[in-house]
Amino acid sequence: MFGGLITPHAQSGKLSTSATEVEVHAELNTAKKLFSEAATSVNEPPNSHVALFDLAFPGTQPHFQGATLIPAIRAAIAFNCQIQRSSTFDRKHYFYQDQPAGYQITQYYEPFAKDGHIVLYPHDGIAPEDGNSVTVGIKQIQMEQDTAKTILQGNDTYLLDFNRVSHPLIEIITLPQIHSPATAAACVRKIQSILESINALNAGMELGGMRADVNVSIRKRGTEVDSGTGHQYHGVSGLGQRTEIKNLSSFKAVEDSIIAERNRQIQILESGGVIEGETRGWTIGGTETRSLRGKEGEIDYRYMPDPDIAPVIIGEDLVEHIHATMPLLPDDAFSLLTLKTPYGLSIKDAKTVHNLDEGERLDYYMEVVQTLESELSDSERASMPYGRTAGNWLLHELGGLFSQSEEPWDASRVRPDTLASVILNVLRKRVTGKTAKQLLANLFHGDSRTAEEIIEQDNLAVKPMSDEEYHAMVKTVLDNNQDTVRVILRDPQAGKSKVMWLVGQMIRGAEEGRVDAQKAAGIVREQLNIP
Amino acid sequence: MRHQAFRSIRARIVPRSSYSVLHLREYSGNEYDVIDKALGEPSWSAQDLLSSGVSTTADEITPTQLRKLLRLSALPPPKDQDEESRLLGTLASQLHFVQAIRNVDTIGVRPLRSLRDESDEAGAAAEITKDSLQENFDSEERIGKHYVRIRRRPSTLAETKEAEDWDPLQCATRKSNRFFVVNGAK
Amino acid sequence: MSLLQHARTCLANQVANKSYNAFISRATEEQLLRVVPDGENASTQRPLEGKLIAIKDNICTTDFPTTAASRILHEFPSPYDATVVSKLRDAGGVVAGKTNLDEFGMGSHSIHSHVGPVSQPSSMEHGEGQLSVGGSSGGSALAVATDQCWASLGTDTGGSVRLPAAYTGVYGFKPSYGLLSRWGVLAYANSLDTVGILAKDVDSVKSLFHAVNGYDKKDPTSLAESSRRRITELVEQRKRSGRYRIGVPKEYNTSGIDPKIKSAWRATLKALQSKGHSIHPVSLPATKLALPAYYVLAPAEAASNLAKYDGVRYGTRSSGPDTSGGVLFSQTRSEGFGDEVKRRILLGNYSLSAEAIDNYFIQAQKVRRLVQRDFDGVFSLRNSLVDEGGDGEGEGERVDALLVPTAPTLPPLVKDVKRQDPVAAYMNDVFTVPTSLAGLPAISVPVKTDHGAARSQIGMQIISQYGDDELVLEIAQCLSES
Repeated sequence: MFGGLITPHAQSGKLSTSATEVEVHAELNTAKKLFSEAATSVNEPPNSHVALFDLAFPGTQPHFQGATLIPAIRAAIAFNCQIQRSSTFDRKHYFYQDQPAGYQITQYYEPFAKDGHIVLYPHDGIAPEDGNSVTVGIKQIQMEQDTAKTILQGNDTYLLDFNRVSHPLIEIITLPQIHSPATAAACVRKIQSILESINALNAGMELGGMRADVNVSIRKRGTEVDSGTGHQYHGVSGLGQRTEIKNLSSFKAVEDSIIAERNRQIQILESGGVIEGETRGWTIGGTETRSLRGKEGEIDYRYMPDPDIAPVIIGEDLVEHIHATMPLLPDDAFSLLTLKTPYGLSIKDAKTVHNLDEGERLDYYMEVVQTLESELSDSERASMPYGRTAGNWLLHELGGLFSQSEEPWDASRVRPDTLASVILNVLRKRVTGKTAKQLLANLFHGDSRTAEEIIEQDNLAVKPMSDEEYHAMVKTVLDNNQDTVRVILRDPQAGKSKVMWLVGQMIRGAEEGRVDAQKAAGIVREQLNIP
Repeated sequence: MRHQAFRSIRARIVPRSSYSVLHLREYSGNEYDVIDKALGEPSWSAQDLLSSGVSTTADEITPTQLRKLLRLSALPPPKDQDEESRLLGTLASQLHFVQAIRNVDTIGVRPLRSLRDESDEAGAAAEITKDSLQENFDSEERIGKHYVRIRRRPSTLAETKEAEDWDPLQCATRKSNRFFVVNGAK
Repeated sequence: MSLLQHARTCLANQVANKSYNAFISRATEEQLLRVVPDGENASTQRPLEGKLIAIKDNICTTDFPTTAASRILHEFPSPYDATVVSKLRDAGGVVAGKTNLDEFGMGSHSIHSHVGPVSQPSSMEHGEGQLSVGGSSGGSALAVATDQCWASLGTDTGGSVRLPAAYTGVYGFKPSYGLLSRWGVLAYANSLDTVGILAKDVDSVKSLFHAVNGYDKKDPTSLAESSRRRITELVEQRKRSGRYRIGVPKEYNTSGIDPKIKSAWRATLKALQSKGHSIHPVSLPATKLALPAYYVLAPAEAASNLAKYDGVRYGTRSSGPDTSGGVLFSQTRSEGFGDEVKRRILLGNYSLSAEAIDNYFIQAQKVRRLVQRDFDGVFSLRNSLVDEGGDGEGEGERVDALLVPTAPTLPPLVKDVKRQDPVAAYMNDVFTVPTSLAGLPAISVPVKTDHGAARSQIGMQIISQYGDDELVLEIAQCLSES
């Protein structure tokens, strides 16, 4: 291993890929906490949003805030889960400075959502060996409290801020069906993307609003999953002993830590050792996972149903309403943009437009396309790739202007109908591409005229060439390229590409956009008297 | 089943003292009646729970297990052999005391976790419906024309003020500015 | 006697009885005289106007520390009042002070206290020493018994209001679980803790009960208003003849009952019979399982509830690092908790541990269901908390209420209790624990034989179906009057 660079261990003949399960903890976007009426917060002054119960003051009791179900149910639907009408909360006991009650309230025995799945595609970043798609099962989604924030001061002093205590989290637990580290990272990334698309996430992984734990085990090559041998986790059998890596705070950390852990396990097994089921940690930029629990061994959490909290009964009408008003999910948006007319974007462009500016860019794009659609005639719509063109102009041209001037996106800078009018002129070849770019730049930099006005007044329209001009140009090019002409005349069928070469010469020699290739080719053939 | 004759009144009320207590004369009659029947031979002895009369053997707690339990309780390990023996002895007698429940056939019995209204009616009343969350749905806006997204509007202070209207650090023995402090020196 | 005179009398009694340690903190004369209304014609608009009420020290008050008789909460100033305290204040009641108890409610004799045990003057027969007041609400019971206040609040988890009421000769009422709010009541075992009332007569019990009863949205276990209405309807549907069917469960007739208590039981039944009520033998087979089940469940919930005491946000803290001794918070907790509390925490954590939880904790919850079903099988009023099975499966006769002793023995000597094996003390709760498991309303009524001790030391319990609190109080009233 070279400092920081993780290289996959050469696969031994006996061992196969890793089976990984991912557990994502995501802070929900809610107004209040899970069990108190204090406000959720991100970067507020320390200990400024805590209720009596959040600090576990004697005699206080939890008050389940029903509103936290809204983003939770949205998430459960987005991950195709079965939502349980009745679910309960349990206490998970352990002592730590960030856990004021000495236990976390979670859903261990009866979570509110179960048996879902997430599908990952190559454009999500899965490993090539995973093929065209990977479906990862989701065992359950549970609601639970977040812990306090701890700041280490010096060597051993911890400053505690309890604002985050009881911030509602959902924990999404997948089945151990991920077989490559890249796919695991892709899975976490996609989970974030989905949660963002339904406004369920308070903040992304980059800002600490989401973290992941992974469970890694090695599976013997040739062992069929579910063969009934080896370990069984969440109903998936035939697995090796797993270890857990906790508190991964970036997508890269997810991938790197799994690679490192897989290597470590392979090394141990190859030298005849045994994998201990244990909890390990990962430092960003590190090369190895490290053991977290000392000689005391694993903690027994003694899960106990919380006697104070009544079962949460989720009404069917609530689920139906949320289902009916779900926003467009990333996969559906992606299919729409890449497969459906009139969009037809490339995979790369589809991803980009979907991810930019929290959906504003995509909304803008669709407005541009709708405007174009209404302006174009039926036959124009049928023949022009206006969706793709619009994508190109929005992302690369207009987007380029913003990045050049180092300004953030602003949908009102060049309004959708304005961009549409520029694109319309390009599609109809009324202006050359080069001219259009300049036109857009002028509009971007404050020209208050409409695109039409600028084209008219600044005389930007392409002047079409007259027939005489075509014939004159063809004659010139034929005169200057006698050898090529002879080749064509000898064998017109084979000479088709030479014709196009001559046309190319014409285009190169003329003002941009003036020569229509089809027309020019026709006139060349006419003058040479070939079909 | 009503009882017939009122025999001589066995109970009499003593003039009111500072106690509102029923003063009774000891019942010494020989009449057979339902009370006699009810208070006949004792049906069991609670002392059995203490003695070794119970057949099930309690699980044995080893010193290692004791240490683990102490750690799970955030209590220090025993300071000497005496204390360890004492703690192990108490646990053993406590476990012996509760053994009686282990042999009971409880197949198909639903655990009673807390005393709640478990009726259907109460379940319906406790259901979280769309209406009960209407206020929260109303505090969301839908933005976008074609690609419609949800944005939760920031909440107002008024909703959370009551819960937060106190000084969380008022009882803390150690604090630093507005932080609580834990000293984790090894 | 005017309210003010009564207050002065209470104060004088507090001073006279100081050595019995009923109070941990008390209002000063000045504080009391400021709030108790003067004159014979003081407004009696509010039901508890000017009445002195002592509060068990595991219930939060802002004007007195709340310590739960534990070093770990020494002088702890709660930032808020418990709902029951606010309610009694709203009704005009005056908090006389905080009473002593077994630490965090764990104990049956009020001897496990950081500020020393509660005791009561011995009767003529027991010249050798002081008697137990029972526990854990011993301070609250003694305060009432010795007229240091008009009435008091306690908590009853396995019998902690009823037992001391029986030992000190006062009325101790444990309402149905969920009627009185637990917001501000320090949790020992959430699914069992019930605020209870101690007073000298049934009218006082009723008056205080009605003032503090009511749904509290701050307490998630508080019985909803719709449920309360349903129960009221159910209770009112019952034909009221004024003559009740009183059950005597044979499983309460254990061999350990003191003969004096047995004969008091007989005599009480005769007294009821003579008033026109009928007596019926019934059977509650799961009774003998209730005590072991309780001692699995209560310590388990306690171990969980006491995990919050670590000195970081409130309470006493050991000097030095929080990691002293190698285990985080262990020094603070070891110094702060008494031995009985530690014993129960260990037992509780054992019952919840991965190897044991099915056979102990979950099994005990199932046994608890059996105990509840037993009661449902003998009461004529159905259990409104359950839809199916609310009528139970009993084939025998149905009764309106049960009449059993509160405790199997008379109050022991404190010195004997201190010598006793801690587990032997569990036996005191044998008659009170089953009703706690089922959350039923129960009252301990003081009865006295003619052998005239200074104070009654025997209590009889009236128990009825969940929600039938008024019936319990009515029968208690009946027993106490001509």
